[in-house]
Amino acid sequence: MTSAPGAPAGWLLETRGLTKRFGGLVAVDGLPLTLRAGEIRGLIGPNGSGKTTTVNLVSGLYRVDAGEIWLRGERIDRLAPHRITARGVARTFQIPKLFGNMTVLENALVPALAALDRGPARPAGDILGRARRLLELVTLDDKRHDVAKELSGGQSMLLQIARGLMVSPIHLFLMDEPFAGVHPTIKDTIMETILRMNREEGVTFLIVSHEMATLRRLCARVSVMHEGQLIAEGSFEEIANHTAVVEAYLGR
Amino acid sequence: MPRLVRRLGWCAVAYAALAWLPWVASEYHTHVLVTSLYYVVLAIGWNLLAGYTGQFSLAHHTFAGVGAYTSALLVLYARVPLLVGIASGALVAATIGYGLGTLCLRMRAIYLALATWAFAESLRLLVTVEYQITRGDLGLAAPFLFSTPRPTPYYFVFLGLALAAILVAREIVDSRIGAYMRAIRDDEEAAAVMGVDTFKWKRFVFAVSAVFAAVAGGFQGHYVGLLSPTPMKFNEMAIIVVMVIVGGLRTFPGPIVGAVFIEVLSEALRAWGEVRMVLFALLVILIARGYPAGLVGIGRALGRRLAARIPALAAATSGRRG
Ligand SMILES: Nc1ncnc2c1ncn2[C@@H]1O[C@H](COP(=O)(O)OP(=O)(O)OP(=O)(O)O)[C@@H](O)[C@H]1O
Ligand SMILES: [Mg+2]
Repeated sequence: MTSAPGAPAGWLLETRGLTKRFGGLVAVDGLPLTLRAGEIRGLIGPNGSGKTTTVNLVSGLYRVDAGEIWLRGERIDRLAPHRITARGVARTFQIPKLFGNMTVLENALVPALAALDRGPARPAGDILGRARRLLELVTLDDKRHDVAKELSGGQSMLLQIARGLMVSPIHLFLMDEPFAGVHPTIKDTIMETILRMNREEGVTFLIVSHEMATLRRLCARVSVMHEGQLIAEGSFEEIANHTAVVEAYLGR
Repeated sequence: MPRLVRRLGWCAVAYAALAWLPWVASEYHTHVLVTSLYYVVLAIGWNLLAGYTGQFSLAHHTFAGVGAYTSALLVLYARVPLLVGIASGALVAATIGYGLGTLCLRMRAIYLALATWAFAESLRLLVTVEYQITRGDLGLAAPFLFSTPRPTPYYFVFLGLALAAILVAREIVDSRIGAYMRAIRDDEEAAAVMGVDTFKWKRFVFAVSAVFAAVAGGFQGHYVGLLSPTPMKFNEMAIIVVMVIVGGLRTFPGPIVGAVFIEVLSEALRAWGEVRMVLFALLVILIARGYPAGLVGIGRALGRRLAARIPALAAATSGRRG
């Protein structure tokens, strides 16, 4: 890990005073978020509380207005999205964004092909092998020659996940509402994939979701956002008894 | 690299298979063939940019003009050899193309089309207004490549150019760069967060397609022998768009089929004059509504239907897919 002044040891991801404004609206407001390497963290909050904006800031799609983002001791908030990806950050989108005219397998290969542009070539066999294994894991291997735009909503989410896991090396996976509107079997597949990649490869996850029951099975800790701010953080029990959280969800 | 060697072999075969045409065709028909091949190069370049990468530039014809004028002016004023002039034209076009690509990096569809169109018009006006250098609408006499305006020797050059363009485009499309291009076209944000340097590759394709156009334009200038700003008008761009869409946008053979088809049709209907453009527009609407993959798509569908009727063929095609 490269040491930089003020870079704390131990955190995989740390945001300090992270702020994003849209006109007069402060979508993310001085957010301090810290993730330990290897944890699975939930990120919850009412609609419009700034969860997606946070994911967009960390993945580099939005430029921060104020604050800093540190990944493994390196400041990343001024980097272009592909450079952040190169440092081991993958993500999915709330509404799946696939390469619709490419096949399922080609979709999964894009991160590996992109890596060829910046580093030494990995053997093609390894890359293909990993893509096939991940597609198998998310139950899409049979469909690998199908065009991606023909997939259902749930399958699209699965492919986004497999594709994200092709980012190499992968340290942090940001998932924006992976369980929204997907069939229960697909939900199980997603949970299994998250747990397995976390256990086997030590991937850290930040999972935005409204599904408390599902999150409870995945995460020990959740962070709660409201109107762009972090209003609570802790175990499910702590969160459930937190007055600010209850108020945020019930409306003031 | 066995695949490249095999492809070079195919190009040699194709060259040999088509080289005899000027002996059976009249001089006029040979001229139509030369022009078709010129448009093949232009259309392939634009398909890389618009079809594969999703950057609907309306300045592609301008780069043919950049190639033609750069070369002719250098040959006339600096007395450089003709091929050096054409190479310089390609270099200048690559630079301008890279710059235009940079300007358009953050623009989406319609804005990119408008910006490139404005750029094309500006450059055309510049060529028209700077008549002391370019002779504007009077026309600039470009020296002939073969000291003759007769089409036959040029046919051999343009056949080589077209095959080279096909080969280079095929190599790009099949490489990792081709995957970046298609990813960018389908979803630029997703491509970026999957690690693709979208800015770099969008600029790259802009520059490459400009080189295609400039090389074709450079040779064309030294074939027709007289340059004017007229081919830098929007009409010329419209023809390229028509060719690619009728042939099949986003298909590899689309621009090749479309360029030859439209150029030949255009010559056959010469008596119709400007009305041809209306016909082409209708053709584009028809294709865009019913057959988005153009003539190539129609051909492939017919091929599949035919294959389904002939069991041996069907077995061959399904075997290849499995
Ligand atoms: N690109 C944008 N331009 C303008 N306003 C935006 C933009 N993106 C988000 N916002 C606004 O910022 C606020 C936070 O939005 P965000 O999408 O981050 O919320 P969220 O927590 O993901 O909500 P949801 O649960 O509905 O997905 C909202 O008020 C939203 O309207
Ligand atoms: Mg959201």
